[in-house]
Amino acid sequence: MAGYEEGHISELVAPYVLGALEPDEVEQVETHLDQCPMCRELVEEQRQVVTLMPYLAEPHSVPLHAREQLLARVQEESGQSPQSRAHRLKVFLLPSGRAGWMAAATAAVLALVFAVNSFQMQGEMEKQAEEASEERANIAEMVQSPGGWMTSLEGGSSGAGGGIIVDPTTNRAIMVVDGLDQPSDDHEYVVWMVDEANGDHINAGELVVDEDGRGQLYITSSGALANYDGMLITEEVDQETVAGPTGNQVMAATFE
Amino acid sequence: MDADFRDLPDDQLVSRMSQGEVDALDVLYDRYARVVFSFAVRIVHDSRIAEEVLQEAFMRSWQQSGRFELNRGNFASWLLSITHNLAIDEVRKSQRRPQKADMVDIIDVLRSEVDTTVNIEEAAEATELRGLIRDAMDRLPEAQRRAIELAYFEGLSQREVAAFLNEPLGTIKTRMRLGMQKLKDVLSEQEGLQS
Repeated sequence: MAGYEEGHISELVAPYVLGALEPDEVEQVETHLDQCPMCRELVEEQRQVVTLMPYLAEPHSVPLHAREQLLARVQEESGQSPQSRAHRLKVFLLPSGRAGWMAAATAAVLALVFAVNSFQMQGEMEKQAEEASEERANIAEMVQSPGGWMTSLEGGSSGAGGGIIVDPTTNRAIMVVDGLDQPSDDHEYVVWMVDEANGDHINAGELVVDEDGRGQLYITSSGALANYDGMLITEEVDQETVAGPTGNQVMAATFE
Repeated sequence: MDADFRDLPDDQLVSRMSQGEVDALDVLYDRYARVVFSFAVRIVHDSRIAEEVLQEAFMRSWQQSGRFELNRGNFASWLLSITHNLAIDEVRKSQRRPQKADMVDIIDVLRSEVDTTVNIEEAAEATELRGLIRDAMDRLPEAQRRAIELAYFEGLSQREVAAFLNEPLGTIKTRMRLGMQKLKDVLSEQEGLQS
């Protein structure tokens, strides 16, 4: 057979493990492997390389409905039901030690999706699409920052969860919430950056929550974000005129 | 879900799957859905088909969990091997030709609601493995890298690679062989090969 070297198939090992041989060649190789421990070892070595090749793919976010459809199929056999989305988010947003930044990367994508959905609902597609595009670029850059970290938001209505991704090198952050009730009539959610030492609260903007309780706010700070003690969300009558938090505290996060 | 499930290693989760425990599948999905989906997108260049591959790969792992043997490799390798076969089958079925990765409809993926419960520890591990293999691939001459990628991600045979690149078959064989040898050597140096 072509590719044999001193009775072995070393020339064919690479295309074999890559799946690049024709069917008749595969059959010949496998016949040889049945009898040759040395070539089996070569194949095993190169298979270990191939097991890493799937990780060359650019990471993509997984659509939620794919899990739901899979579990629905399995459910037919088992009769068990999948967990709620709110529960999943809560688990996801728990502080996670060294891997926190990877959680942040995923949450950033989540934030992107919120932005896109929110823009669609507002019906200002073209203008908002431009803003979304810019925001996507900002977030993508932020997620790649090596010094970033994440903290979870506590409080809120039952089932609410959230977190803040912070990039201290560029003083940018993203706040993401899910399962949060709409604010009371004539009220808005306002996000504050907390400086306990100076007793200051800096208004970071309004957090708009959609009908599913989801919202995200992209925050840029002129000062060092790492110097703040945390962030909080309060319910205010008018976020543009309020000088400091006076309404009910809804959720809060501490920067450690 | 029993919180202990999240602490179980893959092989024990596979065993629990074989006993009909859906929560075990759910945890494994958290750990590997993202890498499986990304891998499928890379091959089929279509997020909707990639979703089908993702679901089918996990469905098969569920159905065949009783036959999974740890000594044949770890769960991730097994699952990704299933994914590769399914995705390449899709490519061949649709007779898609090689495309650039940037032709993927990424916006389409982003517009759908994202599953946020990718396991954090596994995501970190995936990042580490991604770094290892990318670094190794970056050290290959472009021609060798291209030949390997066309075979593995596009499902082309050596002859098809040669025809696609308009190169002699012998040249492609050499590039593939030398490229894989170099990858093995580099990854061995990095102690990156997974046992």
